Amino acid sequence: MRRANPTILLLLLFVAACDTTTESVHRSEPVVEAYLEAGQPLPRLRLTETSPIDGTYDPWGIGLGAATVRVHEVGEGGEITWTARYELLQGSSAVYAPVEDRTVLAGATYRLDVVLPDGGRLEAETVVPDAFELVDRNADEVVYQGSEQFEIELTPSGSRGREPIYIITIEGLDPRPARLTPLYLDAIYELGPEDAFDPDTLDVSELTEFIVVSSPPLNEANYRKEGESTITAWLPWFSVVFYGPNRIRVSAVDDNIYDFIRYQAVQRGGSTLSPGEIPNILDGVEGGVGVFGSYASVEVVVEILEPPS
Amino acid sequence: MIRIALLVALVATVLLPSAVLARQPATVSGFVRDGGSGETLILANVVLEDSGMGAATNTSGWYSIGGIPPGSYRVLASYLGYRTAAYDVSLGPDEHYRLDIELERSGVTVGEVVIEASRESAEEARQLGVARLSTATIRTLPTVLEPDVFRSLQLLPGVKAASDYSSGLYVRGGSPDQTLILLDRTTVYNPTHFFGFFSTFNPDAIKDVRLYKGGFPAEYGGRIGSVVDVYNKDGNRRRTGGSLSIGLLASRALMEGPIPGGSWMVAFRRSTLEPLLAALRAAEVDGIPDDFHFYDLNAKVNLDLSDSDRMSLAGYFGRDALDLEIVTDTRLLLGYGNRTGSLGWVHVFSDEVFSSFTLTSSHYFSRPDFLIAKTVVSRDNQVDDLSMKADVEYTASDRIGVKGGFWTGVFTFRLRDVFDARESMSERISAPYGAGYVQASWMPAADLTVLGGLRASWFGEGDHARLEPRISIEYTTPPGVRLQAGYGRYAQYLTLISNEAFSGLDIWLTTADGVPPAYGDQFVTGVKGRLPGRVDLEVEGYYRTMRSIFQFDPFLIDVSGLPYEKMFLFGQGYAYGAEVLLSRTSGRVSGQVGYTLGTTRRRFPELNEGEYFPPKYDRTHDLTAILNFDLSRRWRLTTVFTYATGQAYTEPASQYRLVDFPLGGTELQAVISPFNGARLPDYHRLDVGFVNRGRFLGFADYELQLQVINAYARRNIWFYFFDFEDDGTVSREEVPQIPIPVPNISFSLAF
Repeated sequence: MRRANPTILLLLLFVAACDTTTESVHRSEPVVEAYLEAGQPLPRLRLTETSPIDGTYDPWGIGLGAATVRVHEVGEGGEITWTARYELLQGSSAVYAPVEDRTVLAGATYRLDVVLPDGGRLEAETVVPDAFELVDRNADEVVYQGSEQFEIELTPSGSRGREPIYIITIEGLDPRPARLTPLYLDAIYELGPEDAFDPDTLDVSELTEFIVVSSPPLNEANYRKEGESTITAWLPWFSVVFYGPNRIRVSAVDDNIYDFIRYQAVQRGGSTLSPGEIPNILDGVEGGVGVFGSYASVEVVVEILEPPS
Repeated sequence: MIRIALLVALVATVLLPSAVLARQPATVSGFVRDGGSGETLILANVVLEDSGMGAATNTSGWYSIGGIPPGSYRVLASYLGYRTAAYDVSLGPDEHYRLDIELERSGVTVGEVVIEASRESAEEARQLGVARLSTATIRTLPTVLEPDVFRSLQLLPGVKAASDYSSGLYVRGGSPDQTLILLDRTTVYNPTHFFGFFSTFNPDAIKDVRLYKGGFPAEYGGRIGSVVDVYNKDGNRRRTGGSLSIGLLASRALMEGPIPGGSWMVAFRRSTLEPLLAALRAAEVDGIPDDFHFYDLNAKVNLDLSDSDRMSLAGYFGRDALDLEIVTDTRLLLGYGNRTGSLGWVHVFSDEVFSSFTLTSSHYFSRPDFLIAKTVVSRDNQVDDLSMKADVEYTASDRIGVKGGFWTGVFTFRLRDVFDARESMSERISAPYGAGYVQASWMPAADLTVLGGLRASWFGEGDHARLEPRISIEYTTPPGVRLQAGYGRYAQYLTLISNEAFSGLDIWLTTADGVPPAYGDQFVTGVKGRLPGRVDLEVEGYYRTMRSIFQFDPFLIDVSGLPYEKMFLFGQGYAYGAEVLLSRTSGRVSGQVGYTLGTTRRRFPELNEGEYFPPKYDRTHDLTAILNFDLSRRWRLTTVFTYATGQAYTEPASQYRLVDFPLGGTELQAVISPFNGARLPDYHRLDVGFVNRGRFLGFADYELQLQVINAYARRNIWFYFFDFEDDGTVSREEVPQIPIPVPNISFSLAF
């Protein structure tokens, strides 16, 4: 019997323990983006491609313009009950629109079926959350950081197989630098309450990403009171960016939106993963990436009054 | 019944020959103490010259050599840095000879205070998977701002650091929660200050630090990876004295002295950053907190009730506090820390039977409050662990020693979240737990030792129980080379929610129904010997599995209303590697070179498409070299060089953006990447320190330390941050580890 050469064994151990790396190679994948809202017409749909990390992503310039797009309404037994045909919007290389109007049904299942220009398939499915209603509100206007917070009472939504998950969105309807609350005046323009400034000299484009702000997806247990059949959502003061009229929208989201947002939040850091560990997103899209999601919403407008100085 | 009968027969077979052959054997036993302070010495070596018989002192400083044939002997006791003591004893038949030993320091010069791992001084330190650090070493090593126990342990082979900013211990592929941290036999649940930058242990107060990197015996349990066993000083039994130390980050004070029949020790440390913070605030530097400080207090009292009974009461109190205004109307208030206490009773039943009983209490708390535009987001996170443990050692003969014990208690965890004055989550688990073990060491021949044991553990939440067998074998070849092998199974009922960059919010969670304990097997082998030139060589190889590991689901944004078991990801992992340690502990030039070749992998269904991946702290090659050079009797130069393979990270390959998202004001940005498929650039760093020692105004010994961390300004990468630009591109920003040379100066007095 031949004896193993210790040098070779050592070399094998060394090689076995060498750093394993997986090359990050860009492979173009189709990106779908569509959001179905209960009670609203079927939405437009955007179809693009991923870009290499060192390239430029242009959602208007890298569309997949020669795809065959269908959205099927699926019955409880899995059978297709109705099909919406989509066509490329005139003048666009990426946005498709349904050929005929059709209202999105709460609680229904919709299946996306895309045949890509290269013959590949992209598929996704969403279950639209149940519609829900506004039952009551405690005020039409509240004083910012006053004793009374704005609250709305809602019937709960439902979602197949799990507790509903909500996103609250606040849209400032009078988005001007002069109407910023102190927190955001400092966060955006680094101006403190004692600083004198002329709001007309501030760059209003800095406000763009703050006009609509939203909460993370929150479980219904955050809102439901023990033993009550309704849920009560309220407006935390830190979510108020602008004084004046604000549109408050409470949306129950489906799994696809929920998964995309929570995975995307981890990609942006701040989770229990170590810095630099970036997992891919769970999105429920077969043959591509993106979101084919749905939601149900209610909305109200409330006036946020600037507190007396 | 057959199995029990076989077991009894086996035990009888093992035990009876020794009992018959060792007719009317004598016993020598006692405590080994420092002659100057009366402090007990852990792992001092006591041997009967030319007999091949001997023992090392246990953690109470007790030794017992049994099975000695009647006759005259010379007893030699040794400990590194101390003069070997010799006693001539005559032992009659069945005599139980009590020999308490005091060792005198050998007129230590700077050059003789070094890493303790030598054969003469620390027999147990050469056991499989065990490493020790002396406090002198910890205080001498160049360090960032403050000497630190865990950062010193990170220099040992098999132990890795996550970054320059973290004192967390990643031992043999395990995450920090896989290491049991004990202070005076009490579990410490968050052993950090400064949000993870430093460990909680004040090096002035510590007597002994032992790290069981793996394959640890049955007397330890509760974690599947490793154990750090820290003992505080007992205090000086001869005279009252103390020390003062002033550093850039913190200052320390220690007092110790005798009481009738015992000793006491109090050590206090507090950060002294206030002047620096005030200067930075005056210079209008952003992000400077209004308040940041930490402190810790260690106290211990020992009392000898008799020659055979000794009581000790030890306590630790530590807290970090932060008050930071982030922007206008937004403030973070955070307090976190630990309080531990232990009441110990050591009782010597006879020369052959030694026992220790301990009541322990450990409290960890973390209370962050975010005040954002009058919206209060707060958390009350607490752990309480009350326990009782007992250990009994029986020296049956010179060949057989048996040890058994139990550890039982109640672990209580409370977590309450309040969002905007409304409770959003409240969880309380109070679980009894228990573990019992028995282990026996058997020397069938003078050059062969077998250590076998069995540990049974149980955790009340979920009613989980596990059996954990352990065995190790050591064979010493004629030239004194030790060949070692060991196996052990380990179970863990806790998991930690933590972040590598910030430990102040750490949360411990437990097993439960639907959340089984993690477990793993460890296989360890080792070769240890001495090379020419008084250089010790240690080589160890290991392979370990990590099964059923449970960790908090990082993708959960909101846990309100979720069933407990839905909060976790369940996965598995493995690690293997080889470690080499060359050390020279005496002489004008001393130090150590440690090298680790290691691999660790994890697998969770939700990550990397369910395939194995290297966690960030996986480093294939890890080299550490410590060199001590005595420039003169008063000056010493210490250098530490570290080289390591770059850590795993995720390098994105593709990007895309969702621009029509109706429930937010901005686009959603995403990347596609092989998870942790790339490697950061290699890590290397050189730290240099000088120590000057002498007398200070005739009343105290002084020690001046001048150090530079990262002497050649290596810009090691901590991680990359990928930022989505408005023009559709993605930029990559480097987030560095300590990128510049950082000086450190400290001045200490001992009186």
